[in-house]
Amino acid sequence: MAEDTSLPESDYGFVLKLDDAVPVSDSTGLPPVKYNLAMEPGECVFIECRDQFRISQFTDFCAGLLPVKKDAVTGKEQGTVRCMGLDWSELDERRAQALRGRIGRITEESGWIDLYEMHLNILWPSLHHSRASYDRLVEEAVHLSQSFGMPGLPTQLPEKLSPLDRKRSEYVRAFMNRPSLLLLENPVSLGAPVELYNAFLTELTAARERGCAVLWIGAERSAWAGYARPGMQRFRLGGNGLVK
Amino acid sequence: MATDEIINPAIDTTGRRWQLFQFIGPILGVILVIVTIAIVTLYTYRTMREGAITLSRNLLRSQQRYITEEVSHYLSPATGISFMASGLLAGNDMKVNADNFMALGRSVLRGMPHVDSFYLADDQGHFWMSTRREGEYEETTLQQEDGAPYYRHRITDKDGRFISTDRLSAEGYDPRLRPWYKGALRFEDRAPDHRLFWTDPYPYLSTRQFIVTASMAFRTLDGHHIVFAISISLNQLTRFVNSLKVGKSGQAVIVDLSGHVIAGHNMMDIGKPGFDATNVHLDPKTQPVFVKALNVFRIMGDGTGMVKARGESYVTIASAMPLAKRSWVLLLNAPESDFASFTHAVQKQAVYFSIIIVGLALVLAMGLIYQGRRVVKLQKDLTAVAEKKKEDNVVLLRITNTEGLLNSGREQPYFSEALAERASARRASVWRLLSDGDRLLCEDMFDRGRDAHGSGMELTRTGHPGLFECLDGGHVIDLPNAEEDQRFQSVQRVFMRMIGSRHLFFLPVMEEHRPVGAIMLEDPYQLGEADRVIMLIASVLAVRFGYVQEEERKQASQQPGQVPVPSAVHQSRPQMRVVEGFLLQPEEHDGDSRPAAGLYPTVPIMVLEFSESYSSNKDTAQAMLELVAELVSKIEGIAKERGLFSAQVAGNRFIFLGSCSQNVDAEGAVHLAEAAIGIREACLMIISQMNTQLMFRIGIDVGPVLIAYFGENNDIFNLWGEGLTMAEALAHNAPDGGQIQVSERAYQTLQGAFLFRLRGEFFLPNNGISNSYILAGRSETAVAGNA
Repeated sequence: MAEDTSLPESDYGFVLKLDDAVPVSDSTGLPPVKYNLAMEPGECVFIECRDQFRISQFTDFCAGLLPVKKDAVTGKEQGTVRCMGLDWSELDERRAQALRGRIGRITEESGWIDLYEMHLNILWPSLHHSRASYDRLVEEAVHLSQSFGMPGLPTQLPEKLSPLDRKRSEYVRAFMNRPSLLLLENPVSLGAPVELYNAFLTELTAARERGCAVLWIGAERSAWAGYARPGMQRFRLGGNGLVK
Repeated sequence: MATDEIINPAIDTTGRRWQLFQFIGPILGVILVIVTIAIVTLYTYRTMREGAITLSRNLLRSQQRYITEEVSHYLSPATGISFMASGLLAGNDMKVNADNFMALGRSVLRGMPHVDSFYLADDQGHFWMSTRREGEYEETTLQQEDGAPYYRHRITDKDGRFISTDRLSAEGYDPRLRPWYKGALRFEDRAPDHRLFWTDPYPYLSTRQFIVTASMAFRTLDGHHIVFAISISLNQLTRFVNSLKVGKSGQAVIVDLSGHVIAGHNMMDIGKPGFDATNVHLDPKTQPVFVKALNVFRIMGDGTGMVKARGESYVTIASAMPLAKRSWVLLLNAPESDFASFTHAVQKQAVYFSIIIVGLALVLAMGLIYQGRRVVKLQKDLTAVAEKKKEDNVVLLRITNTEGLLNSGREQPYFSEALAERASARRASVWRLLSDGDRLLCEDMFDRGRDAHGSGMELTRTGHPGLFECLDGGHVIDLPNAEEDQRFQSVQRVFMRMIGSRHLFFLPVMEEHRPVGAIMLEDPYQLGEADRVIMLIASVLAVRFGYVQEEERKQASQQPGQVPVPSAVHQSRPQMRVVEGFLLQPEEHDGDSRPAAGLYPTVPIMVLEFSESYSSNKDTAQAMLELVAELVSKIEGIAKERGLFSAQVAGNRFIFLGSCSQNVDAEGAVHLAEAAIGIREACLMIISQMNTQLMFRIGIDVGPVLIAYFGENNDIFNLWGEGLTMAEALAHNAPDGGQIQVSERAYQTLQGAFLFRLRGEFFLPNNGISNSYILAGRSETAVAGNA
């Protein structure tokens, strides 16, 4: 049997495509309605949502962590969620995890492991998913750290760092190893210094130029007001699903 | 996407596992066959060997019974005759007993050649003996003659008739002191089966016989003790034992428990002078099998066994001899190979057959693998064809669905991307032939490795005559090494050396048999797979470029002499200030006042940056300096010609101001852009003639600049500000060598007069997202106007 590659869709298709996809969830989280979303390489999509739990569930849904609901009668999935041309429901766990290695995420809860220093927290995903040498990854992490306003790669425990440096570290982790898709949950807090905001937008633009699609989902539309341009997709995530 | 990811999620590894199984399966099958054959062979060999050994043991056992029986027969006269004598010679009259003894002895000696002699003695010291002498029979009586003991020998024939007599002194001889006499008395009270006493074997010197004597004591009717003894020669027993055939090369031996040999191979020399038969023992060096078998017998008793010696296995059997002397042991051995050798032969044959079978299985497995690989290859080819078709369709669909496909006014960067991707080329470029027919303008080029677009480069007929010759001829050129082709050497130096490519595919774009442009693919890896896409794009480009040429021609014929943009050289413009370092000397220019210090919001500013110009080699550095000096001279000339406001040298950078006024000076910006194009052409021309890595990049902005004067005399001109920063950044970050990158503000000012290619969006902290452009060349309308 020949290797099953899906070059055409991955190269020329959408980075993320929700096609009438219904998530497995109850009414307290992500509404179990049909979701449709298509993101091309380099595209930036803004979604406004004030429910933090719903935001997390939606990004999990996009990352294949929240499965697609199955039809009670036919037993088939209701819709598909495809990432870089690959249907999450058709991937085995090994390939799904590898595919998640191409996604950079900023989550509300950050997910730092307090037992290990920040540099390990930052480098771990890249070390796990790639064959890149440790030195090269450190070099990239240092470069990104400096871009986000830190003197270098932070090596203290996450709890020892200031909230602002933790935020910077989150950015570094998300942009590490040139992701193909960025799922950003409330990436910008309005109280953060403008330099950090600018650095974030600079890196975001550079990533988009490389072909990375960006899903920016947050509570305040003012956060992206300075960045959004006409033609960019904008949605509101509410009880009826995604609404333009 | 990271290229060095450990697991590529796009690859389904279940297919790979199946492929692996297809390859390993037959090999495993062959290994299974080999193991099965080996196990079966081993099992068969063991079964046959055990069978052969059992058979050989049975054989040895029957042989042992036969030998035991023979030896018993050999020694049986001792028992039988002794018991017979105990009845025959127990009378009161010793004279009668002696006569009977002599008759018995003569009779037995006549019929049994291995019986050597008979003795008879009583407790009063009388002694009689019957034996052979030189074919006759000798009857010896110990008696007193002449007051001394003598052996009186009476020679008779076989019937007891007297032949002669003689005597021999028997001084000192007392039969009661002989071992056979004493032993018999010791055994007298035993059970009848155990009353017979056997002496140790001893040589009888006169007859050279190896003798063993059996004796039995009994009482006469009047109560006197009488001992009857019979001597048997062992010489014949040895000959008998040696004559036995045990297997092919087996041996038999009779020994006593101490290893003393009674009969057997060691006794071959018995009877020869000097041979001491009493001192012959089993030799551990030459007879290790017998020694081990005897040791086993001492512990285990009768039975068979397996002994390893001299690297070979021997089947042994050891048994006591109850009918002879009880301490005697019969030992037999035979090499296992005598009996089981056929199993080795069968095993060898089995191995040969197995090798043949395994060989055939291997051939079959290889055939299976080969067929499997062929099927997989076929499947791959079919899949590849399907993939290619699918990819082609995706690309073709995208091209045909492109908005404004044939509209020459709309840029189509996807063309070069599709060409590069489908041909797996390092770089793909689309060139348009300008209406003068002497210049090829790069409409778009896509560097796949860097994922970057570029444009704006010009190739002129004078600079690259070979290229234009091929273009005019409409020939498709595929050069594995463009450097070696005279026609494309200059193209390689000017264009291809930027990325270090060698392989060039050149396709002229023809519209109604006249060239309108060209497609170039550098280092295409899969040229064959891109043929459909290349031909489609070439057709589309032909329409687009043909339309542009047609329009230009029409425009030129309808509006001759129209000058839509300012002339390149504006005579009324002030002469350029050539500034040394940062000094401005306005007094050098008549009628021109130096600009006042302060902020100038819209100053056209250009930065030219040289790169890769460093060398530690003295000669190279000197050559580089000469080259740079030539370039600077050219640049200075062009700047003067275009009437720029100023030019400053700062390290490896040149800073040009198009004008310096508080108002928007579009003319100055146009001059600056004209100068940029002129400088680019001049520099490329000079660099292409040299074998150097020197390269330059240009950035242009129209933005705010601060002008100030410093120094004691307040005459040191200085400028800085956002415009300069932006122009420097644009020059530094230009996507490729020899390119002119223009900011969005400059683009807004210059867009009517020049051709631009959008490079992309960039975020700048103070400006937000803005576009940058690549200045391609002069607009055709502007060129026509100038003409």
